Amino acid sequence: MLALFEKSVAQSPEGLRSPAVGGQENDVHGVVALLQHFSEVKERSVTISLGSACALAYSSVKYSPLLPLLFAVVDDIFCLFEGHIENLPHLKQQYGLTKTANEAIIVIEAYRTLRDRGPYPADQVVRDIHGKFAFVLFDNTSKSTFIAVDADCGVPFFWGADSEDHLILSDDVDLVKKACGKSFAPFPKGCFFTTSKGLQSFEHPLNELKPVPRVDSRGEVCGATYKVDSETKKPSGMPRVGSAANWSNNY
Amino acid sequence: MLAIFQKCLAHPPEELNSPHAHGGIKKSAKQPQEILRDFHLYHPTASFSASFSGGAAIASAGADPRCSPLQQRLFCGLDEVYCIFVGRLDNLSSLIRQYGLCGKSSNEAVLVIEAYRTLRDRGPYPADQVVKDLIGSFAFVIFDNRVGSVFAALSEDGKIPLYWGIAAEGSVVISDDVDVIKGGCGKSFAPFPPGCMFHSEGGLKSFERPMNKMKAMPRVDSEGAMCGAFFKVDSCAKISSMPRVGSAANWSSWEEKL
Repeated sequence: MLALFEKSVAQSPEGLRSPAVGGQENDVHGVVALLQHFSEVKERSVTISLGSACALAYSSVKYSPLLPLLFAVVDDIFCLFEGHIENLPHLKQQYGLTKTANEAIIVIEAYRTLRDRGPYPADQVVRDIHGKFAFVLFDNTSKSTFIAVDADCGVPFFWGADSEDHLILSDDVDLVKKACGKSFAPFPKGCFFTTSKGLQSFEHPLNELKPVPRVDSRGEVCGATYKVDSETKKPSGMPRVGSAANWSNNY
Repeated sequence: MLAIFQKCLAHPPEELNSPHAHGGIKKSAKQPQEILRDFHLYHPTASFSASFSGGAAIASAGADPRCSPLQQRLFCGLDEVYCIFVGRLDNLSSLIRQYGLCGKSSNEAVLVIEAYRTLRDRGPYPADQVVKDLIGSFAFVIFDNRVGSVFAALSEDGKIPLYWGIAAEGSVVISDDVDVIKGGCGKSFAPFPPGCMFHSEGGLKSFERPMNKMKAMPRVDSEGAMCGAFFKVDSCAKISSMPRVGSAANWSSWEEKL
């Protein structure tokens, strides 16, 4: 699977971009070239391009039945899901879905609930999904994205920033390497990425994430892994004020 | 809304093809890629396209906030079945109950996909009965990526304009925008016959009179050139179903006859 987001939709976090070292000959540059390369390399591929904001591509062959790749589009929300959810029946009941719902539908419904009603914070919603998974969701109405992996990153998932500052995500490391050169890294486990708030950890939602530059086998700086910084805490949502304060200003 | 299927996937009726224009300006048919590109130029914002490696492409201009609920465009993709739906279904809630879907997250496109899937996998009713059960003004195109088949239908009141044509290399183009079709197919296009459904294997059939064959009547456009064909139900020619034979007949060869 492959997902490409423009800068306005997904701002790649700092530290992911490494200074350009000099690309390889078979590097692929640009959205169209990358999609074309994907269609050539994978058999039975499907490419979806949503204007300039986003492009998704996937091919369902060569996936193990235990960690399948699913794609669904409902109500202008596009979701690519790879992996397996263990508490599937419990989530179906929680979100009120029918027996025909698969993992991608559940993720779309969870995102829709989060977007429209917001009963729980986003990190709680992702923590509620147990299993080995990685998913990429794009909401065409608000042009925003939601990307997450599980706490142990059971599915190989990589992301990178290419020369035009597009965010590229894929489970195929060669594809990301070709598009991003050295500016790529495995997606940090236990984290999720949204358009509005960027990268957050859902295991420790109140702590900031610190980029740790990683060095590949050739000794060059290659993207960054993100670790939870147990020292710094994000400013808490509830400000301390006196009893005469007006809470509606916080919305 | 735009759907392009290559010749190997969908076999359009031959009469739609009008390659030679007698007199007048000869408009040549375009390649599928060019038609897609023109569609994107026409609808620059909120449009998306999905291309399948088997030779199909679907594009939609997305939800238009200005358009009324009577003419809404919905796109849905579930389990490798993709559907573009234009229009509305009046008996949506009873159909949702019939197909066992949950009411709050099911729109018309989800329902039509479920109806198609039931038809494909279990086939409890014939296809014309399933489409006749959909009450409303609608037009939809379904592409099944797993099987590689196309299913399109237009309601009998014909309130939603739907056109189809043949582009370069024999690919079928279906769209509700006549300019896209004209630009892409030259003279080889026609309005999709209302009250009919088209399947890539089964061809064109009327779901109001399923036992009668369809006849192509050539149509001439304002420039006086042949332009595709109108398809009408032929009340005389019937599709043969059960052969009339005597009581001593051997029915074991019935399968081959059909």
